[in-house]
Amino acid sequence: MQIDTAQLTALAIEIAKILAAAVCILVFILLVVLYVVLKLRWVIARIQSRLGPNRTGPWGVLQTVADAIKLFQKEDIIPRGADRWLFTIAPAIVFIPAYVVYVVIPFGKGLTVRPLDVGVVYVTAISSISIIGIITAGWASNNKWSLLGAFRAASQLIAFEVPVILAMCIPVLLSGSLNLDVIVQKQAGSIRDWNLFNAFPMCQIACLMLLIAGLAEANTTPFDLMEAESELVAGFNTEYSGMKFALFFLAEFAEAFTLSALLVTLFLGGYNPPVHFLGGGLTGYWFSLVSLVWFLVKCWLVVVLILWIRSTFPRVRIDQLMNLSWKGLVPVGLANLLVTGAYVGLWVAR
Amino acid sequence: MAILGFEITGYQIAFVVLAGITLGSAALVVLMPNIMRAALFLGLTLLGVAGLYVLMNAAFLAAVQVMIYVGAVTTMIILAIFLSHRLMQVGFAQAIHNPVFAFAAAGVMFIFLFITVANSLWVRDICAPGPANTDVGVHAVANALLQPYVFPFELASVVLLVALVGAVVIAKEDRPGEP
Repeated sequence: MQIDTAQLTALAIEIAKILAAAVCILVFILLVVLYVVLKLRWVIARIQSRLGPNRTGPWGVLQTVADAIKLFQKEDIIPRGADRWLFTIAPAIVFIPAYVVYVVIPFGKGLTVRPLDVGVVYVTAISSISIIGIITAGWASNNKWSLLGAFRAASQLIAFEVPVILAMCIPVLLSGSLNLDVIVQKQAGSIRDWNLFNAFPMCQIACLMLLIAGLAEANTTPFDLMEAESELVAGFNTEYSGMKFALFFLAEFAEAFTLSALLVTLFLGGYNPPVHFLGGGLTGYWFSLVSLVWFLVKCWLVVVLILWIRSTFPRVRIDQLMNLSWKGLVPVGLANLLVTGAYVGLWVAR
Repeated sequence: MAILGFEITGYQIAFVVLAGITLGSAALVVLMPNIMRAALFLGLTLLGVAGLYVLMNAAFLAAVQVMIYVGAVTTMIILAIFLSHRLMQVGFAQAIHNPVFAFAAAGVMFIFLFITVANSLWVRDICAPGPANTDVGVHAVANALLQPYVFPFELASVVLLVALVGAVVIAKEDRPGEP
């Protein structure tokens, strides 16, 4: 039995790289979720004229850390009559897609883990897997509230996947590529080159559609019908506690950040600085660093917008939600796609 | 590297693992007594097929496979299970009422697929392990769909339209006094 050492070393280095990237993304998601949850509480408190978390650590920054430690200590309960095996695996089916999506997100120049050529399709495909996890969780719990939540999850997520894809088609058509990195590079220059400020009104409609439908896909408050507290106790995750609940929680906030990263990448110029003199002239590692900072700043702004929406709007009813998607967003999205196709075919391509 | 005298590449290891996942979970779909678990294993089977597409450098096809089959079709099957009345009953198991005909149908399908696969012209250079294709590109996909494969593409859309109309007809309420 002979083994080629050079090949083995190459393989080991490749595996080490993959593991390092996986750990980096996981740490990033954990930090982002800790911060977004804290920011959510601050924003809601401010909008409701209260103080919000301010005791644990300076300005209350350790509040979510304390909450996380509390979650780790909770008893892990599996209800009697539940399908134990599916009940256990469901949180993983929800979290893993939310985590794996981060592979294609361009955090900065040269800071994409794998700049896939099918990036946009990859994102929508992988995120669609988490529906199965939510339905499984609701079914396996053996609880009527969970099952109702799962029902709503299935109809809602399928309904809003269509407008999300239709909205994402617009920047793809304009840049002629499915690669998120290429889409960002096509928007290089200044703020006027960003997709949001081009192709009026197609891009603006698409951006708004992606925001609305994305909020519904990420299950945030005006559209959080699958866990509506006032109707369904806690929806599909009613019976979950401890670490398994924490995974659902983590996935939900990771998806909210993915939505803001997608909005930034597809419409707000990605990691490009808004004006040339704020880092546009840099090269090499310096530009990577500056572009990472710009990406995070833009994402932060979109996250604040999402939290603002979340703390202001009341929850919609299930029939309103379905009408919004099938009678509102889908026809508008199809018409928008048609007009953008004509625009690209008749003006841009010539 | 060589194991037991055979040259084994990483590509082959990946193929064996993915084929194992696909076939193993496909067998479990049939053998699982619990229909909900069977549906979930069907999702895993389809995911394994997507992995095989990735190995063949067909990344776009793999992504579409995950989106349509894992994301949409499996969800629809689970919804159909939900909507059936016997959902929470203990004995809600799969049943094979007619093993002879089932075996015959499966056998015919296998022979048909085997003949198709055996007679296909395989382009080995594309399937060979190596660096991924430079750019799959929207242009290549669009050209393929609207030039050589325009007939199957349009046929698929007609099938979808028929399904849509059928669903509306079934879902339509029968009000007395209306035609």
